[in-house]
Amino acid sequence: MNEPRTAFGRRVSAALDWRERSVFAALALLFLAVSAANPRFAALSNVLSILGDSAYIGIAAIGMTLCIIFGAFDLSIGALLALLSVASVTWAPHLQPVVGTAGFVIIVALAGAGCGLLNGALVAGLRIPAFIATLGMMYVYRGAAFMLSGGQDQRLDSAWFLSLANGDLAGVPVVFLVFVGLTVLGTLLLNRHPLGRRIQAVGNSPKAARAAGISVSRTTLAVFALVGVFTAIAGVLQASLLRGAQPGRGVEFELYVIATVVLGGTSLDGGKGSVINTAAAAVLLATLQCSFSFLAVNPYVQKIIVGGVLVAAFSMNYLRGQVEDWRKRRQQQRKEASV
Amino acid sequence: MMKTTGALAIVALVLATAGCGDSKSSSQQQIIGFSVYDMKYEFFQMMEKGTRERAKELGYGYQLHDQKSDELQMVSGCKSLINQGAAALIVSPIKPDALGAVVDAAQKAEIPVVINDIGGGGTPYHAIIISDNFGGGKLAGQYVVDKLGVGNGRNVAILKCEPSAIYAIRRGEGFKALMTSNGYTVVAELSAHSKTEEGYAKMKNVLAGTPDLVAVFCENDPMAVGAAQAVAEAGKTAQVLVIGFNADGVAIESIRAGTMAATVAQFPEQMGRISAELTDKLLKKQPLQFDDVSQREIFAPVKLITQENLSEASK
Repeated sequence: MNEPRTAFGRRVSAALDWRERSVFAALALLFLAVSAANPRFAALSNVLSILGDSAYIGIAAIGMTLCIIFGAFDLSIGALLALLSVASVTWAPHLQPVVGTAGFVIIVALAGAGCGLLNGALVAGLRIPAFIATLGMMYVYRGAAFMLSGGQDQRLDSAWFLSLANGDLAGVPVVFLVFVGLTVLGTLLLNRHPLGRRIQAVGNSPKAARAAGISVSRTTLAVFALVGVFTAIAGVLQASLLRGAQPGRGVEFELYVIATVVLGGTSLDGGKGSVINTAAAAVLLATLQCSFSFLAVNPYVQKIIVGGVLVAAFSMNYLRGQVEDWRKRRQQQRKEASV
Repeated sequence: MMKTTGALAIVALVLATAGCGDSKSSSQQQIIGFSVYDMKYEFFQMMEKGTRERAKELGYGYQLHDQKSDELQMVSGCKSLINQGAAALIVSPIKPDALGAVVDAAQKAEIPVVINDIGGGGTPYHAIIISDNFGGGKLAGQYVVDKLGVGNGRNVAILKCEPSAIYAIRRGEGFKALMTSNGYTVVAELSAHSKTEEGYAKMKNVLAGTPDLVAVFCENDPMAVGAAQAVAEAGKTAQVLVIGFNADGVAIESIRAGTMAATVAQFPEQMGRISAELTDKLLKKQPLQFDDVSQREIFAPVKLITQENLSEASK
């Protein structure tokens, strides 16, 4: 392959490097294959509907991508999603007339940031491993969601609230536009903002980051607060779509979100990952779910396929390394043979 | 290279398994889409079987979607059934409150929506099928009258589901109506929140306050099993008739063992068949016969199960 000469050319070529963008290739292949089997799949209305569906998981996955690049997990987001959606549905009728719709969303996002900060404080302040701290908080948030709702599903039919997730702009679901906007924000944050560089540095090596003068504690607080914000936005949009909140919502949500991030190729070792690839993975999973329906895949087989896809995605990194090793060895052997 | 191969493998896997479904239908054939609550439960497996078989008998194509107990999947799955060009939608919803977005999408596509069980969430659905809960409660009451004769003021009790279970609550109402009109006194109506442990605890309280109780009706079987345990511990199994609702496996075993007297069976497969027939009528623009016109409700038959007809409880 010829190396591009200009910096811009290199950047474009890096962005288009198929090895880094294989999730897009998988998405395109899946889409083309299912469309060939059932042309209705490719109808614009169905494509837009899939893109809309992808947002509810994808938005939360943006926060989780940052968290995993940072080198941690947040297992509390499913329960946090339930708590924040119950809280937003409970408070909305009181808050919205006073602060307006935008103000209401900001307050819920801040509440998410607050809960995230609490998670971060447990990890950074009390030195509890993130896995354990957020596992504990998962139960706390779930209990709080049931307490706040009295164990009852909460319903909210106000037009302004339903318009958050159910509207569209020139046919494109608003939730997808929000998702795209947040993906751009997340990408800029990760690659252009000092916080993003700190997140990657800590994810690569906390020791080296500390030596470079980065405050790991403050970065931890910021990362978990961000996870809280993205979870809050996903929670409000889900509540709007579902016309209410349920304290039992979001069980296994955290696992599905982590799976999305992994499918997008973000390394579980931390330090490396891409928000855009995560977003593409969210669209890929939504496409897969929709194709199950179009291809009438047996419901039991669906679970096996989703699991198989994740295992396959996860094993690719290892297999690719093996193949490259094998190639190198063979080149070496050829060289030796020709000498 | 490997990743692309992996992606190809995934696509191949999806396409290969697509053959598992049997939805191959001719292009002119109208398709009925059914979004089911969760295929891991036997109740809904039977409902799905009835829906699928009747839809095919009536000459329709059939497309299934499994909500897997997830309300997000309910909404996205129903929308994808509509996008596939389904001529009508049948839903047994995990969360009736979340049906709004589904019914909106169906209205936009101008296709009818039939709800099977659970609830309609106040949406403008075309029809909802539910078991004849009030009638089932009356069946339970009639059983007590057949066994014990007229009441002469004798005492019975009712253990209720949570107040939000609006259809289950009708079971107790049916039982109460038949009991009071036959001279029995309903001394206690307590919520045991559908749970076995609470059924046991509440029944102990009732027995302590009313030692001469002759029957207890529980709005579901888990509570009845708990209540039967309390009755047995008090040594009153011969004196108190314990009756449940739903013909759960554990209730059938209790009836066989003699600790419970009876239960009321629902027939999900039959409910599925009814849903396909209603959909057929809606697509042919024929009028429906509602059991409750204001709520567009259609009742599915239920049956009293005792030691004499245990085998008929099979769904």
